[in-house]
Amino acid sequence: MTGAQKPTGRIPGFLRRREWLLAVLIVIVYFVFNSQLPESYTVVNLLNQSRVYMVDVGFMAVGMLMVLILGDIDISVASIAALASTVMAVTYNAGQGLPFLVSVGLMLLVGLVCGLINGLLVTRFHELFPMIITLATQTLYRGIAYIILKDQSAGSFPSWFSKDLGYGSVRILGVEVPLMLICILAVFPLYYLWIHRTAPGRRMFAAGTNITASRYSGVRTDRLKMTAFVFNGVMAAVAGIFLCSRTGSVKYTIAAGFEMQAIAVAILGGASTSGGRGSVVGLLLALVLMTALKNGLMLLYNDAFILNLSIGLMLILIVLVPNLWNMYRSMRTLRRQRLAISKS
Amino acid sequence: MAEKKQGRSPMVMLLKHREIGLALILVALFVLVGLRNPAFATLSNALFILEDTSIMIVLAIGMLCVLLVGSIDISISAIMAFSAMTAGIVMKGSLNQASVQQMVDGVMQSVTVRQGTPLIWLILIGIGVGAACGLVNGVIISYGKVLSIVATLGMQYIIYGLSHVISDGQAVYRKDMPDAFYQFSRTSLLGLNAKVWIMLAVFLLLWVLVTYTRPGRRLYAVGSNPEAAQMSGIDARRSTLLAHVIMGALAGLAGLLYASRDTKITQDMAMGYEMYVIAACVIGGVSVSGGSGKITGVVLGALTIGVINNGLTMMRLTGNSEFWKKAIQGALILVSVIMNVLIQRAHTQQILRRRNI
Amino acid sequence: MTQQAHSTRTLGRETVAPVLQVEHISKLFPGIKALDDVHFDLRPGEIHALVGENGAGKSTLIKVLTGVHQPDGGRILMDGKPVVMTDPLVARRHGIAAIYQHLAAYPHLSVAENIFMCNEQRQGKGPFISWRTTHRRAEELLRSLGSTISPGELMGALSVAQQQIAEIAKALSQEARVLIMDEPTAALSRRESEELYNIVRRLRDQGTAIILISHRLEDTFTLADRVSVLRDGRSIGTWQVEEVTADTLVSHMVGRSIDQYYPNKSSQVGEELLRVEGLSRTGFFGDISFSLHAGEILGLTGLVGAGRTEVVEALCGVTCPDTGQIYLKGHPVTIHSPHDALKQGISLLPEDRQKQGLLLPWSIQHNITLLRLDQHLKGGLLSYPSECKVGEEYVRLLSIKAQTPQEPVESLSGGNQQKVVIAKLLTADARILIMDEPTKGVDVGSKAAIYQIMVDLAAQGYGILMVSSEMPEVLNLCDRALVMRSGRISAMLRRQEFTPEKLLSAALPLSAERKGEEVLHG
Repeated sequence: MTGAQKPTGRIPGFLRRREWLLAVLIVIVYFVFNSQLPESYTVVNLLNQSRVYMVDVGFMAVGMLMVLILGDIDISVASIAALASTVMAVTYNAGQGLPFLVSVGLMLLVGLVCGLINGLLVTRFHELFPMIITLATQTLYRGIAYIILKDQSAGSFPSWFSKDLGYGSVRILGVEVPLMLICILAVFPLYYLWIHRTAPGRRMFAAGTNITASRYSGVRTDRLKMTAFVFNGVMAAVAGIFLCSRTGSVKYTIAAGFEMQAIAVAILGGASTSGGRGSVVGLLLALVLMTALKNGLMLLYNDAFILNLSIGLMLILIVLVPNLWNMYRSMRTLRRQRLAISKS
Repeated sequence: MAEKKQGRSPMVMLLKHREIGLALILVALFVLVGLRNPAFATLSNALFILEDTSIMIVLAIGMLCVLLVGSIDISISAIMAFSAMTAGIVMKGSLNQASVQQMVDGVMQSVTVRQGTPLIWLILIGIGVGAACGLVNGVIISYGKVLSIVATLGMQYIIYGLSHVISDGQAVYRKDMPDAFYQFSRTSLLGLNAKVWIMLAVFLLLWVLVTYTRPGRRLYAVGSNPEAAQMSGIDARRSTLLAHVIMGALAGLAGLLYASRDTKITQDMAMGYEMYVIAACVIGGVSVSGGSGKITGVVLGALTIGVINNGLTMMRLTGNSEFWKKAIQGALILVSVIMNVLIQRAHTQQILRRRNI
Repeated sequence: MTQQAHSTRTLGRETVAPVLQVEHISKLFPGIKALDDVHFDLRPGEIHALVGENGAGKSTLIKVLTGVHQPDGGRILMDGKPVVMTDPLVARRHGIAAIYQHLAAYPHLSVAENIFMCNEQRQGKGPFISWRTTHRRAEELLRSLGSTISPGELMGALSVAQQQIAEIAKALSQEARVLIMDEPTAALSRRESEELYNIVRRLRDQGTAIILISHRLEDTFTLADRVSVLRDGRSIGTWQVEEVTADTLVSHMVGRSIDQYYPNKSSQVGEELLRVEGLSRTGFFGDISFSLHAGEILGLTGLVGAGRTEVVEALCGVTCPDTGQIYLKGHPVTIHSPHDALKQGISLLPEDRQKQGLLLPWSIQHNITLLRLDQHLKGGLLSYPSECKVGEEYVRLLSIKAQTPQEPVESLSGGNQQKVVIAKLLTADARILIMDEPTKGVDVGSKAAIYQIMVDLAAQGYGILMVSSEMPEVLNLCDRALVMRSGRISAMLRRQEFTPEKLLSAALPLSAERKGEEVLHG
């Protein structure tokens, strides 16, 4: 199935790696919008808006990448974020309940437990696809949030949380960089090393490429899957933290549909739902590209649905175009060979 | 050693025909809830559940075709919204002037016939738009070799975007709907609702297709072993395409039924519905990896979800069961798929024991 | 037509007009010339063996003949008339049927449906399939082959041999004049092969022309009338089977002569490395006890399905045995996973190298280092130079034919892929090496190289347990051989006692009465 993805011809050198393709796209998107909206579409504005487009979905995508590399999928992340946020908001209870940091700790714990449940179900029932399992837990987790919160909303977080973390920024080289952005950017170097340079990271790619062969080679695939799902759950809770600080209140519908955005970003960044592929650098660039694109479209059209439309198009095209290109290349090679034969 | 003669035990029969098992579970569920609330286990309520579930059944039958070839479609709720919205715009006679008119000027204008549009046109438009979306899905997946999750995830975004573009964010309400369309999901014939009749027609048609015709059987073949299919001259791409077109057309039809039932067409109508449909298929015994699954199983799977939904409302668990419904739904889906696995494992163990080694 | 062929066959082969001719056929794949000016002809009522190393172009030729691939040059003639096989359905209409190397069955569908796939039995001329006719005709075909398989059974529930029979029934249902069998016995035990041979001979006597592709030279010599050799996509020649010997055939296939096929094993058997006592797993094997010593090659043979693979998988922690004890150097151990097994010093070369042994898109060196990534850590991070060094070392050591260690393993030939798996296992420093069918689907040249590696390893003190269906392998390489029959060890033979007859009689199933007796006593 994946045979078609092997480049047989030569894609213009530098574009062959997804990372470069994304970088080029980022530059193009930036200049196109910048020429349309020279006033409002600037780096400063992009940095400012990165709070909305990059952080919470970004954390979810970080967790999702690991799951996708292993060849699994987790569509319960947004529900985990919702449940964790709900637990946090309800236990903190606008200052009447637990101390805030304890509530946040509880929130991470909820993320961990939800991820653990997903991981256990996936590793104990190999016959079931992770998609199906997390489909059910998606409804379950959000359902629990619904039971807890009913159709109410909760909020009134400490001001440092909703003001400083949510909208604060740090001045670096004369540019206001949102605190949130720094938080997520700090994760990437460590994540890069983990995924691409350590032995467990390598084994994750191995397990995603061929799980049977990896198991026969002594890779503890179940343990890796547990790690990925738990990590994913915790990252979903972390995403929930930033989402709460940005929006200031929690409803049970919070983060609805974010799982698809997270998956879309990871795939845009070079991951594949069939496993064994993915890149941390690609993920970061895909996030930047999404931010640049979403922000520009939002300024131009002020319309969330147009935004979705363009993300959908990009998602399909970035996978489809290289496939078509490869098909075209191999057809051309064949034609040339045939020509050589008929001449001789 | 051989403690029991397990020749043709009920257990074996049950596993061979999983639908019987599923039907039994369904009956058991029905009786259980009925014990708690007698109003549940009545014929009229049963008919109500059937009516309520028929849209899901139509969709699940389409999803069966897609899953059989080893593909998946998560854009169906978007297709439902889009085709309903297209039909709605024809009803209203008002295209989003600003952005689209330039693009599709003449074409759309000619079909925009206001209140008087006959129902059959609306239905054909809905199904046609759905089938077209399915066709695009199918082409991207089979000819573009894009993984089906990725392709339909992208299409989901695109189609939702499109339905926004053509409607300019405006919903279509009862006042814009012709009476025929309003009655579409409300008429009864011989005591059965039109939705049920439509569902039965779809069931019959697709049942004949997948059991008695070559294109139908090839859906199974392609999903079961794509390489073998290629070697025996079956065009897997064409089968995949067919499955997606069927899915799209049925999603279009379902979108219209949904819109008529809710007397409202919004651009994000039915969001998230695809997950229930996939769950119905899995409960009905369809393999997500392709090649196996029966249409009767799918219908029973969808009915199980319908009974759970309806039963939860009828159980009156705590003060307001509405809040509990979602969580219990999730838990029950989980339990039923896990039960499936455990039964399957027990069966395998039994076979092994019978080998007497 | 067929009767005529039958009568003339006995008169003299040279006079019969060929049913199928292949002239100047070429086939290109992007960057590769898979077939280059190939000639081939096939007469009715003959079995024509097609031999060659992996990648010689046999499978491609078959695919061209059956219309899966279109040739880029040359032509195909049937009964002297040129035909164009635009797709497999056209080839079928011309009476060409094929049974492929990797079974082309649909596991989720019934046997009857498998047999009539693409040849559906319809109700009259209507569009609907008649399942009753399908099942009836399937039953008739299966019975005519002397099989008792029920046509309603799911294909996936059958054994490999039964599936093979169903595939033959499928070919029969098409009333094929040309039957192509690609590695029909690869997955079969000797006895099952014998049964297949009989069926094939019967078909030949009925006038069917048969193309036989096999890695087992014994197939060629027991069955075929003529043999053609392909090498590197070119025709090397066609001979009457009586005219050639195994050695000349091999030298034609490899392009040079191979002096010594089986190396001399001279290593001394040393201390006990592994002992197994009373190992059982319900439904797969029972009461397995044996021991393995350093420097020894122990054969584990028997029919396919006798439980050999299951036993070695339990030893390596892939599955868990229900009862029994494993001892390593006299100490009892428990093994829950392949990871445990490797830690304890047991490594497994799995039966299916593509699915279980290798990460096909990965480079050679990354495949090799996967087992011991801890050896390549510098400050907690993987060191690329260190991996390269090990990659190069093993490529040289096992003479793996590749341009660089960075080449993906999927571009290697079967034999070289197998060497990569062996290289990977060697990095584990496990003294117990279990090899499940180490030469399955490996070409002749690489086979000899793999035997040499095994003998060398034994000389270094490795204990090797080799699962094999190939009698000559067991006879020539092993110090001792265990024979399994329906999940139990039926014989343990020493090298001095080795005869093909003894191995075979221990492997064949007991007659029904004796089995009943055994159950009573057990």
